[in-house]
Amino acid sequence: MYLTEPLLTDVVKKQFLHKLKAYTGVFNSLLVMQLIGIILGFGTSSGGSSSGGTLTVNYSFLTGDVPVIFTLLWAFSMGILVTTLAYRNDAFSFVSNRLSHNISSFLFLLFASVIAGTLATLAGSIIKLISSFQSDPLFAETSGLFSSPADFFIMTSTSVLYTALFASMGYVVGSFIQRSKFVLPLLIAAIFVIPLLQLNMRGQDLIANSVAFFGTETSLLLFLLKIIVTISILFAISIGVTTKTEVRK
Amino acid sequence: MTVIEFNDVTKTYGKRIVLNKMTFSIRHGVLTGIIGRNGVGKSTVMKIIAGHIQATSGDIRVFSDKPFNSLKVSANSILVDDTMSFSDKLTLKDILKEADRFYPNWDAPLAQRLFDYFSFHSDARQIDLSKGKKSTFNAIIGLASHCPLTIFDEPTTGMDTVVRKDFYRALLKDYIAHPRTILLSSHHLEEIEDLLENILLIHNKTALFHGPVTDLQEMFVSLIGKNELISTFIADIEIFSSQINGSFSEILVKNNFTPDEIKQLHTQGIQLVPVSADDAYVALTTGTKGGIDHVFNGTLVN
Amino acid sequence: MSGLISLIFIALIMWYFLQGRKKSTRQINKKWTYVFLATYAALLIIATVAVELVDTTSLNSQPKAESNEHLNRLTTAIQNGDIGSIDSSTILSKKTQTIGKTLRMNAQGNDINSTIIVERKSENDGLIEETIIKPHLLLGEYDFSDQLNYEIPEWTAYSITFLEPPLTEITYTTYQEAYLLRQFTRTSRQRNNSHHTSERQIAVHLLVPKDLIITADERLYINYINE
Repeated sequence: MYLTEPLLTDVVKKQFLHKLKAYTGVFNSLLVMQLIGIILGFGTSSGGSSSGGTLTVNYSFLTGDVPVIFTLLWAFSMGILVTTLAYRNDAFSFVSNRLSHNISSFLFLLFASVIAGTLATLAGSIIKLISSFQSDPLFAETSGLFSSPADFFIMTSTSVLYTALFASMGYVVGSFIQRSKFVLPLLIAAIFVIPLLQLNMRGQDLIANSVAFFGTETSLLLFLLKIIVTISILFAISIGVTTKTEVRK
Repeated sequence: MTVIEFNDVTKTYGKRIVLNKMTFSIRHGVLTGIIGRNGVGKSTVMKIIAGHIQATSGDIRVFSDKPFNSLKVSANSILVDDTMSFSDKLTLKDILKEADRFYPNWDAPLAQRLFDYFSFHSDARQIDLSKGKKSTFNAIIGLASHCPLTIFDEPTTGMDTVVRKDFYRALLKDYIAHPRTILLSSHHLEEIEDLLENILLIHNKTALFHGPVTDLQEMFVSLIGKNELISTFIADIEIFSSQINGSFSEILVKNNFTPDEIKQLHTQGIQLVPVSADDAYVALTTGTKGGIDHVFNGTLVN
Repeated sequence: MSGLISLIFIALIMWYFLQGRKKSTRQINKKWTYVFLATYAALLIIATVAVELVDTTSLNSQPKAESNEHLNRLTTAIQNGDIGSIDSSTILSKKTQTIGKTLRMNAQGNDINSTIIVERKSENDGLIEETIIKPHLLLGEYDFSDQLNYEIPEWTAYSITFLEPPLTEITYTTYQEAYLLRQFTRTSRQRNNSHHTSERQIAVHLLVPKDLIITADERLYINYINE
């Protein structure tokens, strides 16, 4: 009986295709999250009315924020989800090592991010469309597909990049959680403690700095570079953290 | 050709030592049974071989690679046990298709025939199967993958007697048709001893015995004779187990009699009877304490 | 409070997704997952295209508000009686009315709101030249002037009556793309949350004979130029 000498790239390719079939639950939850996002998108419209004398104005203010925020939350959870024990054990029922499992999971997350990010950009259209069917006039800032295709493309790219960033953050957090049970309580504690520490560290606010690092960038190209570098670092950390994990214990 | 090599392998979980400086090697194309009492680390050995877990110290070679994180080992071996799980999104049919993509030697017709024979439903999901059905399904994957190193860890858990017998028969036939290295562990040595060529007996955190089944059997012999004959005989001999049936006694002792002694025993009217591998295994792992019978019947062994 | 509820809600959703798999006979088939996903994507694309089509016809037909500078100039011109400098497109009507020695200015209703400017001529020709300037209404950054209801004053031989304008009710919705996604687009990232309302009813400019005696209802606010 001859021995096969598998190539990493072949195994990763097989696993990626496998994960497209095996991880479809990820897309079910994406649908649920975005639909909730769209429904809440209507619910959270800030509005009001002002009236004085002979004039009454009723206005409501809709944004595409909620589907995008929900998509980012989804991405973070999915990043954690694919690192969990069940998913890891599944992978090792077929040909796999930790590196190939990590790479294929990561590629899957990036693939899912592209889909989710694009859909999140489009989700606003549903809100726009349904509002426009109501009798009120609707004023939309046009970043439409036809009216400004460049803007539309930029928005989609931004959405995809942010989604990928959140998925990677979930992935690295999940990897740490899998490494040790103590990470989760520590993490939860950190979430509550870090904001308290900020009060004492003037100007050295880590969270604010990291938000500014991405949020204040004005060049899409530099932003892309920042995201790629960050994702690569997060991915490298994840691989480093999980390279000794035992499976199917 | 050596497929598996363990050299001074130690595995600890925290302070608990599971394997202590274990050394053995398994040749290519041998069907080896991994035998041991509950919790001696049979599964640990198998998981280390498959590269699922890592030894604390020592050198392990599978296909001359370190198995942990080795793609070569993963591609050429399969470990079938109760932790074998598949995504709940895949139907049994899907899983067979996926296995076909991953394992180059996959025998799709065999998988399909076994699948039909054990009457699985294509659209069922592995997670929803009963324990016995799940074991059967996993075993089909293990068989059909035709991996150069196929490892079954307690593959018959939950299977009923008929299915168990079918499985062992299928395993033997497939092994003869496609000779490869197979490791098989079971609680029931008596069920598989006819199947096995070699036995790796794990006891006291190490490999107590490794060799052909017949060698294990020949380590012991059963003496049968009248009660009074046996009791005079046993005065200065190690007894591993004993049994009294009416006026006859049967004792299990080490088979280290010289031809002269054997002749003498015959003249005394004591019969020498070969023991089963299972009895030999029990004798080897329980020592001279006399086993559970001794607890109730302390008369023979003082 | 609502923030806390939404946090709990989000945590619940995440927990639901992250919990281990359960035995379940009602799993969504992987084929159906992709069918659902494709349907959803198709709906979104259709919605995106449909919005574009609606967009070109009605959505943005509402004119954007003119610059503040322009409005200020108009207001100043009205206040100073500088009718000549006012663009003819903002003038609603112009007419001439004969009048005797006295003019009675009446008000009907409480909320007249019209700007009334009275300017005296240098002669007594027995004629009043009335110029009515269109009202304007700005809501946020949109111009709703043409939707603002107004009532032009009514004349008799010796009086003018200002009427309360009918009630105007305006309902509108604005939509902005997600804040995060506008980071690199040309549209301003500054959220225009202001629903600042700037409203002016019709302005009535009366050029009256030099010695006309005017008696006015006290509910009217009249701006006399050169007095």
